[in-house]
Amino acid sequence: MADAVLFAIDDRGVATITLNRPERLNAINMAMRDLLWEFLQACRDHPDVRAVCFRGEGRAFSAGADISEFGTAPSLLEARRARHERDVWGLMLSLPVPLVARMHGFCFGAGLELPLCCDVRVAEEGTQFALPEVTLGYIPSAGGTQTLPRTIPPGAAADLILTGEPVGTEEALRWGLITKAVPAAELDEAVEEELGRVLAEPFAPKPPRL
Amino acid sequence: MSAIGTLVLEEGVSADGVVEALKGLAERGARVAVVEAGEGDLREWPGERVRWLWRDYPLPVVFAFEGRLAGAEAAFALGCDIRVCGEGASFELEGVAMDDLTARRARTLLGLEAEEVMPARFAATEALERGLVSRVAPAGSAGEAARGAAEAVAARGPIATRLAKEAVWRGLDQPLEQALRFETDLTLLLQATKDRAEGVRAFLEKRPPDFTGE
Repeated sequence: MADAVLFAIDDRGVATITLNRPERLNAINMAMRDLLWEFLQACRDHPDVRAVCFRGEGRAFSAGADISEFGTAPSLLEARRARHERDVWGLMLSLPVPLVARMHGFCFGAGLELPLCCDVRVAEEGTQFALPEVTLGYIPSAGGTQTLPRTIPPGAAADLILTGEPVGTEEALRWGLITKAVPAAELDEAVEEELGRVLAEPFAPKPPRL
Repeated sequence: MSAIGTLVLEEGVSADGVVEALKGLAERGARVAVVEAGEGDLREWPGERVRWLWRDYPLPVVFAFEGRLAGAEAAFALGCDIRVCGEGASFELEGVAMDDLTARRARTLLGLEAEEVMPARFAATEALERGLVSRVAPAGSAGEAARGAAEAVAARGPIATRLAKEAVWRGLDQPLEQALRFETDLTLLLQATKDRAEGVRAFLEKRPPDFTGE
């Protein structure tokens, strides 16, 4: 079976991280978190990496966390320690290079929180965005309660987080949840354009958000 | 007691009266409050009451208005969590008693830096653009649209929506690093609830969850 997250660095210094569990709509499980952690550390430590692009294989960027694994952590304190020690989202927020998300299909839960840790978010028209955690008696826990109200107007963020209801590309563009929406056939080209733009800027480490 | 508590702001009602009514809804088991702007204006709505709404009142509050929203009702609306208006409505900040707490809340919602001038008035489309309201309904249906949003909130885990409200508004005042730890701790607190276990179980069994607030 192919790895659930793929990693490649091209000769321009663009690292591409691909969520690759299309049969589960790229639901992020613990094995994928481990791979993300490993690849993000490589992005931080590899001197050639000048930008990172996140994408999802199949019909969705990511439908969120893998709920079938919920409740398997040994204890609350152990879970807390593990999160602080392997803080995938915190590492994304502190990388010194620009991060670009290529979004399509569904970006739900962690599948939206991951792009919220990026600097540029390009989406295919018709993509649905939601933080539906409250429908499970839960709250967003990959940073979404903090990154969303710092990305879009906080009142709009409160609506999304409290109702758990999805919005489309029109609302997402209106509030700056995404940088750009393009037809499906133009998504790769639009992402390339954004990557070209960030690579053309003279290299200077990005001020860390964390 | 229905899961959705509703209040209509009548002319001349005091801030204390509205606070007591909202507390009553929470005590009687409502999971979300809908407040509709009425005819005329309330009496004063001072900043510490505006802050009480977003910071201390446990239930999510959805505010609905049609026409011109101004004065004390506009101040009240700033303290709510979700704002919904009808087409043709306007949100007027000019004339709102802008004490420091109210001004800070308005600036937070509008994402204004300290040196930026606060606009005086927002037409519905502009209020939506700026996120001062998150839904615009056909004229005359703001109340219905607000109840629609409230029904969604009421169907969610009630502890989760209370903690989500706290995470969003109290988190915004914290540096990002601290705010992310705050979110983690609220998440772990929820992991200890029956509702969260029920939410996951219901999802895996492909049935609607039955949240009890435990």
